[in-house]
Amino acid sequence: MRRKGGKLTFRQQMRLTALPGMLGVGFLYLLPGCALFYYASINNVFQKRFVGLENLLDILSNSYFLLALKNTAVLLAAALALVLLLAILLVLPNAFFGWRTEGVAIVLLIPLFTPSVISVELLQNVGGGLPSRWQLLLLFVWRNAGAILLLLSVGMARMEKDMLEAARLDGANRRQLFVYMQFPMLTLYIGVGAVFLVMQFFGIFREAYLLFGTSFPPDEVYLLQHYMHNHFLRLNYPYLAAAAILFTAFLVAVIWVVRVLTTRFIKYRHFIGCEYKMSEGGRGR
Amino acid sequence: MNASLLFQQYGNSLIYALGTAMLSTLVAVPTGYAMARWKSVWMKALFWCCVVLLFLPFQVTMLPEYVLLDFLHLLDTRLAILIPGMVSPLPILILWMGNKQVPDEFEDAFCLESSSLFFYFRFILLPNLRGVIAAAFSICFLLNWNLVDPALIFLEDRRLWPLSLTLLEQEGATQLYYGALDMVPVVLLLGMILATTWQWRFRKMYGILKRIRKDMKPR
Repeated sequence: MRRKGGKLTFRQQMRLTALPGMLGVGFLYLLPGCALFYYASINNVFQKRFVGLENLLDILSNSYFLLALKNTAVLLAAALALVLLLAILLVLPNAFFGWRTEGVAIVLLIPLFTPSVISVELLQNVGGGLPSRWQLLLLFVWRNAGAILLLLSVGMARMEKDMLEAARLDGANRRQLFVYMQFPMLTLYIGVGAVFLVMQFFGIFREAYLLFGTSFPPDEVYLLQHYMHNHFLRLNYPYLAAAAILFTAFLVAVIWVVRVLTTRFIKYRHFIGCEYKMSEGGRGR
Repeated sequence: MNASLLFQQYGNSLIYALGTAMLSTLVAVPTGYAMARWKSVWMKALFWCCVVLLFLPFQVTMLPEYVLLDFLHLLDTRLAILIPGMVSPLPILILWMGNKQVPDEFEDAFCLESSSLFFYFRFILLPNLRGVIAAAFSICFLLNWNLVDPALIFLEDRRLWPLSLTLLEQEGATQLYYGALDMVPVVLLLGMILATTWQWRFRKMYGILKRIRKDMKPR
């Protein structure tokens, strides 16, 4: 539908702005992604015989794939818990004594952007004797604590001071303020931080590669990324594609579960935080 | 290793980091706006695509990207890094969050006067989103500065390698020297961010001082 003079209306122009992103995601990710389904259904790159779901079933019964899956899940959970706990600990002085933590956070941000080789050398000098799982976790914490701390301190700075002041006048002490008001208000920032951490965790392959020198590390830190990288180097594309499809399927399932849980959580949020309802003129009380 | 190759690799690092950051921010600004304003199934699909793509490790997208670049005959050129980096989910999601903070009333008020989206972007939206765009750009730059994995797979020619890839091969003092060289832009950028925040604080203090002096002036 066009207006007189052949000009587009504002709404039509707004819809046009979606084009670059749609085209980019479509042509750079979704369309080439179809190649995964092709490669997952042939027996090898040279014969190209159609075998259907055989590769997927092969992989699901492969002990190394299962080991990699287990390791990825365990390490991901441990890394998330460690970094988030550390960041909350570091932001406590801000909550209890009102110290600003942004400057510290920006200094702590430097390890994230040092070349990974330098970080790995440092770690090998300091904690070379630790078990390999702890080495990897330590490297992850060292790199990512600063970003999460920055996020949390920005969250603390943006908090509404009036409500805290009112609660203090009503006789709440520092601990009660933190546990019942500041921490629930920080949950949004903690969620964003968790998303960032998961993104960073899947890029940890580079550090693991440098730390152990090969893409065949000890069994306890053998990750899915190692599995896929090794199959790529061996030109074993069918297994790589099948593993990639399985990984994406797991990821989508996890994201869906998290989304269902968070929507339910936000629905009942007024039992915990009250901040959204209260900021709308106290209608929620 | 001679000096000219080193400088070329330093330049490559800059090209890759700046290029991907600029291109992806350029794509992300309109896309984030559309995602925040246009309520439709397409935008929902795009949003969830972006969320899934954000988490996918490089090893999953490696094979499709390799096939695409091979099809376009772009393997072993600088475009092999720039084109896949052109659309990245992180700045799109950051700009989506930023656009959701801009009130709808701005758009309603603007539509009373004009129906040109370009002028809306130029005079209303971009000045409001300045900080968010700067944040997205610098995050993209910093995360792409030390890129290793795509360069390792897509580039064979040493003259096209970024500095971070050459760093892996060096040893001892040379490695430290290259590492220090590699850190220069990062430290500069972080210092700039620190200086800007301090400047804001100083400006605020300066404004308060000026107001006090004005109040104290005899009338």
